[in-house]
Amino acid sequence: MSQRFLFPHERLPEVAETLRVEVRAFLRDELAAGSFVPGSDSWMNASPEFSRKLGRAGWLGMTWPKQYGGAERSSLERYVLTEELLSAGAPVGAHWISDRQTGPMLLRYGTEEQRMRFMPAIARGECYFAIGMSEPDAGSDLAAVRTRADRVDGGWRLTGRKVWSSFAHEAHCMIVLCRTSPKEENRHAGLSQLLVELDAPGIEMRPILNLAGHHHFNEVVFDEVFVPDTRVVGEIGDGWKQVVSELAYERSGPERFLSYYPVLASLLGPLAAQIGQTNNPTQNLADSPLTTAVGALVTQLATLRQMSLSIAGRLQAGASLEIEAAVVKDLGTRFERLLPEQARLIAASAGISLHDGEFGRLLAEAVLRAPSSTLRGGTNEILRGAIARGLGLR
Amino acid sequence: MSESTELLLQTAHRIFTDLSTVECVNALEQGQWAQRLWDALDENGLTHALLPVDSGGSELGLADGVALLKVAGYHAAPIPLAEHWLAGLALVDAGQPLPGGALTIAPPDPARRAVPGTHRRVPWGRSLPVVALDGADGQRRLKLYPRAVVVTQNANLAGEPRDELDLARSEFTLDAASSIDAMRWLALGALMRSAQMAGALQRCLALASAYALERKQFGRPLAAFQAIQQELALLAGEVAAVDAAVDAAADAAEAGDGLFDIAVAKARASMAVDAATRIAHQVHGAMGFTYEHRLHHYTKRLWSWRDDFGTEVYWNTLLGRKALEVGGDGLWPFLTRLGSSAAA
Repeated sequence: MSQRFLFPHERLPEVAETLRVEVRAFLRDELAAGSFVPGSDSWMNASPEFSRKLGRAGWLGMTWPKQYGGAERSSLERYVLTEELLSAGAPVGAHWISDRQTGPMLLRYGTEEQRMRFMPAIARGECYFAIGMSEPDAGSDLAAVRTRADRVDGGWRLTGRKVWSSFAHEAHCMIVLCRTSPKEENRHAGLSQLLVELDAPGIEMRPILNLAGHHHFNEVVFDEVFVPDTRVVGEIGDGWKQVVSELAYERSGPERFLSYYPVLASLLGPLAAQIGQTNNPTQNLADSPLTTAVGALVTQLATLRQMSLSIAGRLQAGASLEIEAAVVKDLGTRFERLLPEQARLIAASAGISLHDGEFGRLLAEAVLRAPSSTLRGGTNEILRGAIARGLGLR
Repeated sequence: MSESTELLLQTAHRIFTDLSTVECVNALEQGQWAQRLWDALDENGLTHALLPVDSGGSELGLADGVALLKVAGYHAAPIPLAEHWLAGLALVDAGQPLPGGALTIAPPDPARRAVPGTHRRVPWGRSLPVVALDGADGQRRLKLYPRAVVVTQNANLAGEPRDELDLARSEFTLDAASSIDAMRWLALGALMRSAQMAGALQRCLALASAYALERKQFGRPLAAFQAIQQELALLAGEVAAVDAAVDAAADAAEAGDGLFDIAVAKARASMAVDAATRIAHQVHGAMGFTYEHRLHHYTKRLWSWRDDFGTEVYWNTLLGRKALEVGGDGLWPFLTRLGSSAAA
């Protein structure tokens, strides 16, 4: 049979299921203690305190080698932790980038000194990173970045402007993608990644409020910021290759389809109550189109989870799965747009208030957050372009 | 996947490529039984592959069986391989010998619309011995009707025979106690049909991609247009999702009951059909709307198969009911048990 993207079934090992039980107990205790309120899109909710608790439990950087603060556990265990946190709507935004992306990147490309300096602190939930990729004129076209680092004695002088950097105002560092040599015919050449500590002189930060009026994003301006040679990540000129290798981690995780899961969970109670109250014998609500619509969401969710798990299992084995990850992110984020809208229609059809209670709160949050699902981490149009390349069409 | 399974799949692929030809699939629509294809599968042990060794099979697990049915679907194989396997499994389960030749089943009707004794839409019911489950759960009888009384000969959209039979007036040669439960039978049928659908979807993608690369308009291949690339990427996503859901279900059904995993697989497969066939046809333009082009072998099967062994509405309702039963706190634990043998 011809070209295809494979998602062989990955069964979770027992140790991952054991961890699941521990995580659920932890979350139950935290909820009971009122340490967080479940949220929609909770990986965009930052709580340094919650992150430190996860660090103390040994659940940050958990796949990394012990000498860097890790616990040498499998990526499937990390998968289970992640899906449990997201489905519970826990505020994991503070450490999200550093745990998902920065640690693995330093492990792959960083120097020993960089690893020792940053990874144990990340694993303790005390050191947060922001992404420094997009710019005012470089969004989907990331290779168009103009932020520039010029060679100076002992390091680089960084000048430019980054935007959409989530939680940069709470982060300690940023990995900045910048140009270290002039643009050539190959636009992907001459890019590098620098690890910039955000308290360095010459850095200015301004909030970019999102449509809800909330401060997640920032504009970060670098004005001749000195970055020592010891903070170059990987090789000068290899920035593009390094960025691309992060994508499979960034694009295939459960945060690409679970962001609004709490909306669905919070709908079921009121919906079951409505169905129980229906006394009309000719209309069995339990088998109504509403039940079917709930089932359709379950079907899609279960399928996406299997696909995402399949990638997690194989990333562990060192496979290169950028296209498969793009497939998951395209399907998953379109599902994220669908879920709140479907939940709203189901609720309205069942006579459940769209504006009250837990459901109303989570739905409102989701509606305001959902537009970013199909934008962040690569738009769906860009993803589908990558999939088309995988199909041999371009 | 073991080496022997790999070999079996290669054999199947070769046989289907040689014998499940355009002419052969078209001939089915004229009522012709693909004897050469069936014989070739039989000679290579594929018709008995799922059965235990002492029944002449090679004791393939469900996951491998599903892999084989994907190949059959990829070639629009005009034979009831899944039905034959289901019949064989039921007979073996009841401790009964298999008659020679192809068998079919009277599929359980989830909607229970049929008058007792009559069975609608029995695949190849006019020409093959029919294995049927009769009676209530707990006192189920398995019966074999060598030549069932045909009320009406019908066909599905792809021209596969789907006949109405009157089993109450038909003679049976076997009447054995059966432990197999109707729901399990339906679920296994749904799993197998989903596997065929996964294969047919894969072929739709292959045909559409190939056509987009070869067909030129405005001086460029269709594949060079972003509008086409985006659509084919969407199609690839549907194909991948169905493939993943089917694999997970096969694994779960092999390890245990897997009912809800199968529900997900059949629902997801049926849900994919509308978008996938729309895109495949849209990319093929008028050419794909002709009888001459073989795209219709796949799209017509998908439009038919999505209704077999429970539609997406049937299976999604089952899942929705379960979700309402376990509630907001129970849904996540339910979801995370899917894909493991502990699913329940």
